[in-house]
Amino acid sequence: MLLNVSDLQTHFFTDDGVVKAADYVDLTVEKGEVLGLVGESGCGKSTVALSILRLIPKPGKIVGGRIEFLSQDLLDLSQRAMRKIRGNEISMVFQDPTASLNPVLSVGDQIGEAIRIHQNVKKRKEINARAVEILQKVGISDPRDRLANYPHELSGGMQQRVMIAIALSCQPKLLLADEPTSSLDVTIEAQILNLLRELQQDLELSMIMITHDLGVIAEISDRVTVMYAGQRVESATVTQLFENPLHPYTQALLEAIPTTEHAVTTIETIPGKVPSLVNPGKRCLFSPRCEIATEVCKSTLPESKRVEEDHIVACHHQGGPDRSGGCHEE
Amino acid sequence: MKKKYIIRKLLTAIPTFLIATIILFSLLHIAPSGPVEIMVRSSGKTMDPGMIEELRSQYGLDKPLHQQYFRWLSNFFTGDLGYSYVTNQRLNSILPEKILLTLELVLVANVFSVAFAVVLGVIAAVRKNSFLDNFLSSFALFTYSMPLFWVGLLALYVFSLKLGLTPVGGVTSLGKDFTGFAAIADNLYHLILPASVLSLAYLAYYFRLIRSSMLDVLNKEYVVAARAKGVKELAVIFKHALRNALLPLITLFAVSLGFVLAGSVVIETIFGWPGLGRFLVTAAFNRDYTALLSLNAIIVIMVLFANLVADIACAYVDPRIKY
Ligand SMILES: Nc1ncnc2c1ncn2[C@@H]1O[C@H](COP(=O)(O)OP(=O)(O)O)[C@@H](O)[C@H]1O
Ligand SMILES: [Mg+2]
Repeated sequence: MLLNVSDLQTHFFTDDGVVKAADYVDLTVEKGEVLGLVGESGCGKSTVALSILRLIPKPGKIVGGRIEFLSQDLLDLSQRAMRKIRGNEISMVFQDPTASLNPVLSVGDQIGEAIRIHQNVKKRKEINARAVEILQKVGISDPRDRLANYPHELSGGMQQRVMIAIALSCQPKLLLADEPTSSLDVTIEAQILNLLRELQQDLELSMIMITHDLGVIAEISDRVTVMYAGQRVESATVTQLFENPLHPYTQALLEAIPTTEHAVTTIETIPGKVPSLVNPGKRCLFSPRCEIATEVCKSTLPESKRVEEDHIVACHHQGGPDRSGGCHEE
Repeated sequence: MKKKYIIRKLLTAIPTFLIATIILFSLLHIAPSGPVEIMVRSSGKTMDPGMIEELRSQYGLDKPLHQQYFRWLSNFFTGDLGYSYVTNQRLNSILPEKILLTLELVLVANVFSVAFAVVLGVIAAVRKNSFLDNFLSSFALFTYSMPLFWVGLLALYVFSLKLGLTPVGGVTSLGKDFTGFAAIADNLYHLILPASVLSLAYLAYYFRLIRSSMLDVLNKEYVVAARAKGVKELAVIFKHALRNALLPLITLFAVSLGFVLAGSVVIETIFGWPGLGRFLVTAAFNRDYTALLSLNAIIVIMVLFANLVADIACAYVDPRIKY
């Protein structure tokens, strides 16, 4: 196992109270595997990714759990050792490439930085040669000329390719892709997804693909973890999840997959919103929006149960009494 | 490309200069009583109206206003700053030294305050809400809201009168003929207190700007992205964040030159520093039309020049600005 996150608790200590953005989250990634992490926005997906890199901003803090990467707990590492992991063993691609590239540094500078830090290459020429190589790999034409470009001179799709190039420049073992296509338009989105899939296969890369769009998951992942309100509600292989979704929230997500080419950010088929993560209380957090919720859902927190090999769900009803027809009806 | 950009900026400065000097000229003439009246009144003697008229025509003050303005303007651009009614001296012979003295004071104060403001502003932003940040921020607010003349007088009282560490005023020690290195040292010895008081005032102002700009930038996604690459925290702060934080401030520094010069008026008056500021105050009290106009025109040019330099500097450090 490459990554094993268990009981991760990441809280934001805000003036309004403690936001439990990740509350006892478990997830695993095998070598060469793509794990999809799904949920509406505000469910804590980015929080999990940033926790893995230990880059949770103030007033946030990882208050509990373990993050085992290659059998060592990242939470035990010194800052210095952690810096050697970031960008080198685990790297991250962010949602908005325009915001995540530094506007005053050239493309060459920004790619070269990671190479210089982690690969012990000091000569400008050699760094540039490696940067050109990696830019070529992510499908950027005339890579040598691009080195001198600044981010604003590139299109959104190109910028995201540069971000991917930076992330892959030191041959990481794990790539955290945090909604890497949701700020791009549809045709570019498809190109970037294809690129990520190709690179993942060529480099036998392990990846966590964060998205709110199950359509993206179907295309690229091997397994899926579904999050709701800072908690893991279901985890399964892609086939299991699409054929036999057990949690009512997963079922609703599946119904919300857009048939047209338009992505959605909130699920209109389920009334209500993600609840406040301050003092969520002892109950199933999805119960206020759930059609099959009963008294027990409103008074006790459901435990995670393994129902099949590789299929875990946290629901008192495991999808409800009439589960068989649950997700197929229109 | 760059040359064209500079020329375009210079051309847009011309109308600004004309408008500023016309407004100045009009304001001076709207103010009640002119230089001759004030001279007569302060001499305490009575003078017959004929004499007053004669003096006015001697100074060209009886001509129509637009003629007076254009005469001043053409003189100014041929390098003739005019004549001070009050000191009876040609401005060309007294102003250059005063300009240099003010520039010395203002530049030294600025260099120190910007340097300290950057260091302290960055520390405060990085350690947001820490004891140090709270202390620095309150101290900045405190000095920022204190009247400059009061701080000046207090410093003079403590450091010069009570402790005897610094001279009471002036630019050089009177009656001593230092040369070379000693002269410079003597001048710096006189400069240190007024420059410190002045830079304290700017420091508070710049500190607040840099702190808030830095806080803004530290929350940007590219800062997180830099950390996610494994960049060391110091490099994150100075290479990735500070450059972006200083960009919007370059123009602000230039715009605040007017404010900076206003501060030097107060300090020069208190510390007997015979620069532009003190001269400006005397000239204003005596309605010294030409002196005020020429002096203010020079200040306008300095502000425009600072803006030009800032524009060029911005275009140089910010790749997003097109020439
Ligand atoms: N810096 C922060 N300060 C306070 N609360 C935060 C911060 N970042 C995230 N949160 C809270 O944590 C929760 C999860 O956010 P996030 O991980 O960004 O969700 P997602 O990536 O699934 O959209 C949200 O309720 C959000 O309000
Ligand atoms: Mg997110």
